[in-house]
Amino acid sequence: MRGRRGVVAASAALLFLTGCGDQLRSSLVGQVGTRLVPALAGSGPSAEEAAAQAAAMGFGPDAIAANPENYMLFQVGGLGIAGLGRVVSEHDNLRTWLGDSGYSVSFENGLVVATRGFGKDLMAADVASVRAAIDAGGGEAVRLHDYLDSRDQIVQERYACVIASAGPQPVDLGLRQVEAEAFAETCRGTRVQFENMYFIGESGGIIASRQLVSDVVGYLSNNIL
Amino acid sequence: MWRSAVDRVSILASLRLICPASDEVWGGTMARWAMRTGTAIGLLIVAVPAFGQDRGITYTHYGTPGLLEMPTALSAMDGELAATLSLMDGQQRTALTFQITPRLSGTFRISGTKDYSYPGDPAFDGIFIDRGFDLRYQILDESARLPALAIGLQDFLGSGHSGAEYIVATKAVSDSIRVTAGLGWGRLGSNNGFSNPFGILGDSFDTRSPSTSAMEPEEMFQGDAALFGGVEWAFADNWTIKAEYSSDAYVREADLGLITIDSPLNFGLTWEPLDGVQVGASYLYGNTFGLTATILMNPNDRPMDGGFDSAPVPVSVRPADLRAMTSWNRSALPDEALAAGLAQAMASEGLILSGIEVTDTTARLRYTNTRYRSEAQAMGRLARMLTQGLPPSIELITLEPMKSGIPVSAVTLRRSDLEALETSAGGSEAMFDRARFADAGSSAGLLSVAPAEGPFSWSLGPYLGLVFGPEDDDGLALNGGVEVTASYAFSPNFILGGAVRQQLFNTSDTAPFVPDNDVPGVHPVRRNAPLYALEGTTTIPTLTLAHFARPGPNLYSRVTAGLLEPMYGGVSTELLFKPVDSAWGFGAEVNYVQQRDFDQQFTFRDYDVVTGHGSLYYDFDSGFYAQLDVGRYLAGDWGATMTLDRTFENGWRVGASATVTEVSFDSGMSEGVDYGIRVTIPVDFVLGRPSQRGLSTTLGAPTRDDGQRLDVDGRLFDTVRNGHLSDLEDGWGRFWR
Repeated sequence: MRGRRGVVAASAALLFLTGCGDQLRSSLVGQVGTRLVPALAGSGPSAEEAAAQAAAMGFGPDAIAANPENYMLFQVGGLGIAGLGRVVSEHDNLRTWLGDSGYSVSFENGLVVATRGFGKDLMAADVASVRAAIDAGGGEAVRLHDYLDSRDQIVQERYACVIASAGPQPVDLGLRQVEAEAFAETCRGTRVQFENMYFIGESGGIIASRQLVSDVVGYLSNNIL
Repeated sequence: MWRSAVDRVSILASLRLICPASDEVWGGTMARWAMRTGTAIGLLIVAVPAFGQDRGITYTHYGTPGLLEMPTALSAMDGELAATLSLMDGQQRTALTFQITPRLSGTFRISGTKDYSYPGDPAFDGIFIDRGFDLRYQILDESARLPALAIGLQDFLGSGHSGAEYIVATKAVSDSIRVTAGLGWGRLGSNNGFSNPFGILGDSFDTRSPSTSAMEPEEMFQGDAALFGGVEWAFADNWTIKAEYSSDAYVREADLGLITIDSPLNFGLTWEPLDGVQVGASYLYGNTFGLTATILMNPNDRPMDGGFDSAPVPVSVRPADLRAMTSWNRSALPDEALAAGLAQAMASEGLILSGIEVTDTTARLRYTNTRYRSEAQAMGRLARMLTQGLPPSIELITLEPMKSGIPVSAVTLRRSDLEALETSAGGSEAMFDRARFADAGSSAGLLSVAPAEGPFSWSLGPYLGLVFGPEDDDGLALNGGVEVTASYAFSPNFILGGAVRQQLFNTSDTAPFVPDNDVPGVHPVRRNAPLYALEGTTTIPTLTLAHFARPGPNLYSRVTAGLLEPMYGGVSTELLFKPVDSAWGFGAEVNYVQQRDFDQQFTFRDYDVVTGHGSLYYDFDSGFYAQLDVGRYLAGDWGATMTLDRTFENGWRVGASATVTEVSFDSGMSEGVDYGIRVTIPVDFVLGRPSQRGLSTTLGAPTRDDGQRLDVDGRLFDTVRNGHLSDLEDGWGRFWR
């Protein structure tokens, strides 16, 4: 039961993290909820089916409880996506997570370098200097983002960014409250200006963040369980 | 409102991605933090490049960018396709305008005028149908001081019913007001005309013969000239008022009493209720109301961005020690077991594995992609799967995509490149640069894999047919019903296929019979199309045995026998020479066919012919594709067809073809060049989901008998081009998709 409660609490944490209300709550029910909430409520055969389906996809409560570090909460407000992702690939500093509705997100040292399944996805990115600036406590960096255009050609966007520390901040991860070092990254390209946010945990890893995917998709928010 | 250049670098939009009102209720850590630090949480689109701007162009009753009936000098966005329907009392026009290049546009139009007839022709009772082409070239862009300048030819092929030429200038005088002035000839030189200024070049420019059923190109810019002009005022977002002074006196229509011109001033209002939709109302000639509706599409503006394809399997990266291995334990994992596992995984991506060859360090797979339009995307997905499934010592991966059961190319990738470039900025281009493209290898050495699905497949669906009558005034007829198609694959490249149709409706209940000797020397090879539609209620449109093969390097062959198409049966043979990395290809096709009976079952009419063509194909780097077919057509007439398509990397194609044969200008036919327009829209562009289907339509001249080709399935160039370098490069942006 701890695991099941954990899913709910962690989902709620995502809501807190992103600061959106009813709209997100309903989309949460629509996304994760249709699969997991009925199972948690424990009512009716459809609840069992939903639980079985979630388990088959690797999102069963027992699997989550056994290895919570393999799961991440994701939210893309512009697409109405709010739910869990499961790590499906890990090597060096690159981790790829598969979302419960068929999208994927790849992080390099906690920074988004690719997404799939969101429409105007981030095809690939070079963010090495951003991570170096965070590790240095702030500084300047250059980001390169690859996007696919209407004619199936890769278009590269270049952003000049400034990373600044915002000091220690409380972060509610749902299962627990922690103190984390916050960083803001302000970037400007030829067309788009955006601001990413990162919360660095005690281990030095990014435990929660809000990062740009593309001008159409908007921001992706995520936090560990 | 039109936006000035200054606006283009200003902030156009600000998207707040976090719900502001919810902070109090669900005030989360990040939102609170952001507020405390005074940071605006949002994404700012700070500038939009000029080409992303709406130029505020609206369309005329002729379906061209312009005022009401008069043109302006501005071009639509590159690649824009505009379909316009225009209705007025006694007149209707349907037009398709394509912005072929940033400066050149073309329009194909079908006009209907009630009771019209050419000067000298007897009176006509009914809707007179005329087809025409326009071309317009924008010579000058608008600058701070100078207007945009364009030159145009209206209805310059075919009959010249609306034939006119013009030079026109357009200048914006404020953010929302644009003025146009022009000089017209022909139809556009008929109101208050004056002596042709080109008369100084020679007396021949002074006069122009009246519009007849055959427009002569040498008459262009001849005869009186006249001035036209107008104003457009975009008084609110999505609303434009237009007023024009028309230089078209509708001379012939007025003579016939069809149109009365009380005033040369026309007025109109255009509204854009949605992106890509324009509707207009107008008051014309001082006495007539008109309506227009235009739908715009642009291949350069995909509504679903890259599409919502599900996430691919990620690349599995080998640890250094495994990567250093030079062999693997073949006895622990036999080739058959490896093939079975891969085939099962590939099926989840719509990929059918046909053959595999593995060594200690290489793998070669032959497969068919049944899901993705872009072969490059299918390759990217397959390659990622193979990083998961192949033994670690395998470094070189060769992919051989198949079409119609034959391999069309071999693309070799390094596994270590796949491991390094999956999420790297510039990774798609780097992957392309490092890939090797070659002709498909030999079948020797391949372990054959039986398809999971059986050799038999079938489907049931509706069909619709559009039939053009043998004469202009026969109009169009629509028929439709249900169709069952089925196929049996003896092998992937040897297929028995066919269809049965049951017609459920036909809007025409009569069909003229064109007798065999209607035009001496030209058998009615197509003009009995309405009769095929009328008598063909339960039909077998096709029933064929087709064999595809690779007889040699860079060579492809096809033999198709049986009921090849609704009107012909026989044998069709084709040979194509097309190196994988060449922009060009050569083909030859020879067919012996006999005309089928109108009921489209198993009996034939007493007409047979040997028909065929030599073809040259060329894919220009600039996004244009040309094809020249020279040979003997169905009526036994010798001639040539030139086809030019603009091809977009995302699968769109818009093109035109023109055919001339030895009888095109004979007195019996007297129809000149046979032309057609074709448009193909990829389904994945519209739906945002993977699909190999394309929606194609062809528009053109009425059905005729000269310059007609056999309509056989599986022609080789279109079959193989998807897997060749040019198309792979076009779609390579999707490799990591």
